[in-house]
Amino acid sequence: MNNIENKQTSLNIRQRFVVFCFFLSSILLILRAIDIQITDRDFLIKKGMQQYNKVESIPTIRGKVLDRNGELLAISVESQSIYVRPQKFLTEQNRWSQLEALIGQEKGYLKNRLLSRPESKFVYLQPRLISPEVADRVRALNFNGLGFERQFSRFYPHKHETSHLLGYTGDDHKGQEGIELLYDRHLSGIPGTQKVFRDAKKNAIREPEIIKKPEPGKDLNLTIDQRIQYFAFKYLKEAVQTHNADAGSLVVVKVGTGEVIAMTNQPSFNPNLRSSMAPHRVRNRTVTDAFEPGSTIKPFTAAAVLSDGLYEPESKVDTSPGRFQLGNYWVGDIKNYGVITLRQILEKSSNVGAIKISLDLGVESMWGTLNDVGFGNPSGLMFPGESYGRLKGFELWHPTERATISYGYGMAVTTSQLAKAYSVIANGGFSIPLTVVKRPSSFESKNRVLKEDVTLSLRNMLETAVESGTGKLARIPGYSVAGKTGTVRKSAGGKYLEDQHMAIFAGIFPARKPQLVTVIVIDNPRAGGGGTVAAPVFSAVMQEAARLLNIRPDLVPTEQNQVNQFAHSNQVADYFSGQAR
Amino acid sequence: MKQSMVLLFLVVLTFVSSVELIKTRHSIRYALKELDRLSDETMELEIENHKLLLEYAHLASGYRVEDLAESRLNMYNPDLSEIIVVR
Repeated sequence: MNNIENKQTSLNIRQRFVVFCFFLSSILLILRAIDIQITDRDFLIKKGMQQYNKVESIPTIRGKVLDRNGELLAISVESQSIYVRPQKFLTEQNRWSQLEALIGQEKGYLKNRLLSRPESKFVYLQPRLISPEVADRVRALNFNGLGFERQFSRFYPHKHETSHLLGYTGDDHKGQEGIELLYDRHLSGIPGTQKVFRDAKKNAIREPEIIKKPEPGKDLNLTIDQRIQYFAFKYLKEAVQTHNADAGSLVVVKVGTGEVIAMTNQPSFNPNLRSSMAPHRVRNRTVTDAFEPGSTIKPFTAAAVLSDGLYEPESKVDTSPGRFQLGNYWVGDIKNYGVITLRQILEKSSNVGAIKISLDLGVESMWGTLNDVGFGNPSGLMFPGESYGRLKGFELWHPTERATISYGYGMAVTTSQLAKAYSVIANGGFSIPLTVVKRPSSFESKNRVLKEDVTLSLRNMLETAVESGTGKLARIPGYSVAGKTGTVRKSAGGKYLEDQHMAIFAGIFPARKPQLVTVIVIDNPRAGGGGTVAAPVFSAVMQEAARLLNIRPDLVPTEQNQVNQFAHSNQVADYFSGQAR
Repeated sequence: MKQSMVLLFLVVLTFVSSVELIKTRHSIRYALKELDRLSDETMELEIENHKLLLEYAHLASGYRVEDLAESRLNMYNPDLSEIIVVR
């Protein structure tokens, strides 16, 4: 009996102990719950949120650049960047040479790269952008401490042909030059940000909260016709090489709209290859380099006297004795032309004739004409580093400057400005800013700067200058061509150089129903001037343009012009020996 | 009795509602996962499309076409004497 009582007492004690333990545990849990819910609440909520939500960037792909027919000029494609975490990566030292070979680096590159950054926990390898195919091969090596990041790199399928126009982007995919810089905001868009909620397996558990809506990069349609751009590049390159010239530039503009159809330079560079980007190759000379325009300015001197009603195309000017004294020096023609007409001044490119007619002009009138057609002013392109050329205010002109400017010395223009100015003659007298992006079809210029009958007379006189004057090699079988040659001495250190010059040709095609204006500038050809070096480039490029744009021949073939055309055709073919069969 | 029935009904309703809530949450997560996958796939396809466009542009470049026309097809720019203008 006593035994049973003892057992009962022991059970009671154990029961109470267990109940007490449960009670104590409950109290502790309640206290802990109070602690968590009240004391540490904010800290823990923050910690929890950090673990499952994250702010991520919403990437945008840079827009494409297309030509006027939708042909691709620039596009972003996937690339990879490789980075290493040095601590782990050092364990792979015996296999580093395999990686160096794959990414095209010399042996010892990785050692140098890591030694130069001893404190870094994260090091990018060069080249910074590699193709996904190479990245896959690197990935297969299965290195410790090696990581990959998806990036985008910019590619230009037409390489050298469009490089100056398009420019290029940097490692950060931002525009650095040309169209890429000018329209960077339009092309790149703005990446957005969003808050995403993910579980431990990185699966989304809630709809993301958009913090900043992304603005996708937009495609950009240029006015360039890639087919004409190709031929412009090809023939300009051939001309620069044939004449062993220092450089060259060429612009083709559509008449009536100011749209640039082609814009190219020599020397050029491959924008896909950084090593080819020497500064002298990267410069877009059509907008950055200003030069004295020489005889290509004479049509505007003629425009000024025609506008003022001082001369008619057939008005006579006495250029005897074929030279003219300006201050301490003499300006001359190739020979004494005697009494010639205004038309013949342009045809024979008479400096004395240009000076004589300019002396009848007021300086304000002459400056006004040059200023109105765009010299000394922006061309409208707004390219990075664009030069406005140089045309001093007429109040600052030295007494001899009216004379020198009449034949294109004492002022400076860019290739683009010259193209814009000739467009005024071609489109009936309207000044239209140049553009490389398409204008709305409703665009119409109201800025008339020359009378229509003056431009008609000028085109007619310039047609003579090509047909029987200095620009014969610019002729195109079956078509009327108007244009003017220029051969200009280069200057350095305040004086003109005897052995260096520029060859220029500015032309309108076809002359009687203008559609295109083209200006070619060849810098320092070893021999030959505008008529023999630059004019054949005009002829070759415009022949291709006529075929591509389906421009109808406007000359009725006669026996005489067929003979001329055969002779001309052979001359141009000889010039472009690469093109001749 | 009536009160008990109402209580039971509410308990059952609460249970069914919580099960539905779990099912809905699950389907949302599933849909979000699918959305993520499709977004990634869209991006991949766009990248692939860019690659193909680049390849196409390269293959259709003027230089390559002219080179193939001359070297493989023996084509050339016709001489003026070979052209007959049809008016």
